[in-house]
Amino acid sequence: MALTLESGALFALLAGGTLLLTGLVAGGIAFLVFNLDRERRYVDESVLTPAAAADGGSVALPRLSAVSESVIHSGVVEAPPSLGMSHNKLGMWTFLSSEIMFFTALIGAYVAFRAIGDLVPEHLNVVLSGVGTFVLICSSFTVVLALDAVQENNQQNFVFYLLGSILLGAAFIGIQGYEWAELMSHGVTATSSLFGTAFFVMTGFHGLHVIIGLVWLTLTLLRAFRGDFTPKDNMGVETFGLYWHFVDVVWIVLFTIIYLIQ
Amino acid sequence: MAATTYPGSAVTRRASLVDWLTTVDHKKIGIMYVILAFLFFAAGGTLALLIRWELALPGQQLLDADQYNKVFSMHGTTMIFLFVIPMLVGLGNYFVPLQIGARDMAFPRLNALSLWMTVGGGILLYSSWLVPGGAAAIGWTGYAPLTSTTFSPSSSVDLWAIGLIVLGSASTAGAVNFIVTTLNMRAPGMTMWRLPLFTWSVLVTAFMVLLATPMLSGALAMQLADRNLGTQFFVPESGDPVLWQHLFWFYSHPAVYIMVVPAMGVISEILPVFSRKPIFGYSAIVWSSIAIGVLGFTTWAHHMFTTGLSPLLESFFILSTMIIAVPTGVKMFNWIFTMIGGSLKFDTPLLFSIGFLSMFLIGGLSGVFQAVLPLDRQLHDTYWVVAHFHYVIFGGTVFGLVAGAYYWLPKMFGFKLGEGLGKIHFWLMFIGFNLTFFPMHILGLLGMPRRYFDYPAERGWTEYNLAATIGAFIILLAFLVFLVNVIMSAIRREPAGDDPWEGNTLEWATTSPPPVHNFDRIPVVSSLRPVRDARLRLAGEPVEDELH
Amino acid sequence: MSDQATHQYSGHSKRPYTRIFVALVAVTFVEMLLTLQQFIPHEFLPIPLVILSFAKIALVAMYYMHLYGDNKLFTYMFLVPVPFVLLIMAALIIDLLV
Repeated sequence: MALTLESGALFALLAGGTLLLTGLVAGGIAFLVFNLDRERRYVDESVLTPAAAADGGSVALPRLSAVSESVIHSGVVEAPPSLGMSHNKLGMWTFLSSEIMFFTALIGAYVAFRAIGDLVPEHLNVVLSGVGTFVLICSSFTVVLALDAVQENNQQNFVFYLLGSILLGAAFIGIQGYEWAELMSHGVTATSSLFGTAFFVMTGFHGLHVIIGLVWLTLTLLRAFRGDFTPKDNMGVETFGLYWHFVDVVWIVLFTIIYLIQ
Repeated sequence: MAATTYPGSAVTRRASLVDWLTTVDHKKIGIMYVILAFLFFAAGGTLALLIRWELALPGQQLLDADQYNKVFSMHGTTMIFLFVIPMLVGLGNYFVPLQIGARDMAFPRLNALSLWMTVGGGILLYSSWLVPGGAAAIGWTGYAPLTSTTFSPSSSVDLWAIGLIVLGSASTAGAVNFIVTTLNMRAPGMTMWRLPLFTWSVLVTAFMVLLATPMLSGALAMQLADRNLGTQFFVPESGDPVLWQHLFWFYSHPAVYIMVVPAMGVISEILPVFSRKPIFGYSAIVWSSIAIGVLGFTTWAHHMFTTGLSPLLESFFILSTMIIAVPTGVKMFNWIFTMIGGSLKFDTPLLFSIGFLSMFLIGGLSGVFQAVLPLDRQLHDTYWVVAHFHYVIFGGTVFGLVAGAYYWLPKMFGFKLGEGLGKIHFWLMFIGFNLTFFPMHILGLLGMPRRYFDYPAERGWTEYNLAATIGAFIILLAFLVFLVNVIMSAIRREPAGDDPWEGNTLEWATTSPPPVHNFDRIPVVSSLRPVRDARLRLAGEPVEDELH
Repeated sequence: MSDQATHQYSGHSKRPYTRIFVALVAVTFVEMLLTLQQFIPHEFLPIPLVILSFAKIALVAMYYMHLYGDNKLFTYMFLVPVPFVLLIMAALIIDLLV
């Protein structure tokens, strides 16, 4: 005779129950059997400090095997970055290459639909978006000037250019919003046609990146007021700049494929 | 995170639950990834057993058609996104910094964020059971237009998509972390050509995650927009459902390699240690990993041969699919020649590695079969395909993962695992696996389609299905043996020592488990196998010059 | 090293930045003229426009993002996705055309 589970709730119970049960077993193993809650028998960094060393080694010192001992015997306390570059900057460039792939999904769809003629641009305002492009290029310029200013320790100019960048970025969003409103007044919406679909999703995700950039820019400005950035330490400004210029690059592509090539 | 050691009193504070939840230590995060993955393995495994129970005999056993759809959809999604990938990320998290002689990952806080985003993504995915209409019943592939609101009105599909975006963002962040760590945090003297092969495989995988995952996020964003904003990307009338397939497989085919390349790295670590020989052709393995990483991106449309691609694309993807077997074959020969002439120590890690080699060979070869277009049209969406990818993902990756678990658990927790139960685990899993998935090849050739909850008795499929179901429960038994083995070994607590296997790489040059800062001093590396060279020097034996 | 690379520009002048800014604005202006004034036949228009926008991207990446004079690894990192981008674009266009 067939035993039939009646509802989704029973399934929730089954899946959740399995998860919970294994969770309890795994948690039990982890915290009771593996002694995960007990500190490792090894020393902490604190005993490596001079204060601890001066204390006469009352803390149990590491008991390494002879082989391990000989491997780390000639070692160093701190190793410099193996490529001699900042983690943050390398990380940002790595992240940007994944951003390229994200926009490829959206742009690829647009270009393919355009190429086969399924998608026809409607009611685009080339001049207005040209002004938007100009504003965004200006903001890239001010961001790079801000970096230049902090590297020359000109804090006043640094703050000035950051403020300028925020205003320019906000102006770009304003222009984009006006253009969206204009298109919608012509009846072009995300649901009206394939063009509307691709246009609003693409420019929407780009706009989202600009807005995230603006939030980051504001935080950078607050840190600038606090005097966090110096000629020696301005990686925060540089990595932000990389992100911002990348968003600019994406706009250059979008401007070309949406507005210029009609 | 670190328990405070009070100088002078030698009192250590116990690491509390809060310490674990707020840790940024790569080892604690790695352990939590492994535990998380194991939890979801249990959940996904339960779903798999439900599938097999339903299919054991013709007629409805346990599930109706709709429930069956939910069960296999969530089984696939869980196993790929919440078991295999987090498990590999966990092992990578724990061992990459140790192998390259670093104290932590490059971005420890980002690392913690990735972990908790993975947890959140898992919760989002599983919360889809609770909404009206139950979990997403769209297959793990989520093809349009099945995912449209017309055919899947339940908001569980939205939860599925959002969960995957969250999981994808977590793995992208993790990929950035792994790439920066591996490139920029190597110990002095650890050149790229002295990098342990597991670390190399994680690096290649990280690049694939970095470039493939955003494509899936983009496609999922479009799918969400189609469902919730009324856009038309994948709508058949104006957009194109095949676009989803392109974008989805552009992620999901590399994802197969994302899942298998780290397991290959584990095997490349284990085989030389248990053969007492250097790895055969280190640079060939590295280059073939890189080749797989690149070619993995060029084969996606072989999943779409039945959608009517242009002949130009068809021939391109047939060719690329066959070419990618070449670097995989190169590795196969490297591994076999590593073992030939070695003095093999048949401990559990080696058994599972040999299991990997043989099972992955079958899975790889049946993949090349499917590159042949006429055959693919016949086999598409039959049980042959199910057999093929389970031989790759289960026979390959899971065998590799379990080999890695037996190899590295002593390092992670400081005690040895029982060899006797380990061998029982291996044989149960090997037999159960083949009993489950080998008959599926035949079922596929007999024409049984995948994703059907029932089949007629007169088709002659019953015996094979029954065998597969029995095999699935043998696999369950195998993992119960594993669980018992781990618990009993933990109670027995036979100390592993720094280096239970006489290993080659730097993780064996610290205590088991390693201290918070990994190494008192960062080792200066001058060869491919620093720990083995130090061992020989200490014993007064000559250390021959190696290539690198 | 990154610090050296940025140091190259600091200390003496902002002129490369300003020159690049002027170039970017000028190229954008030319692009818009091409689109609005129809100097060249419509079907050939994409060719100069694509070339010009690539020039803009190169200027931004090389000077504002400091790829020029910086560690080559950053350039490679930025270029790694390009072949895959071209491949998926080509496949999408070919497939949807048929």
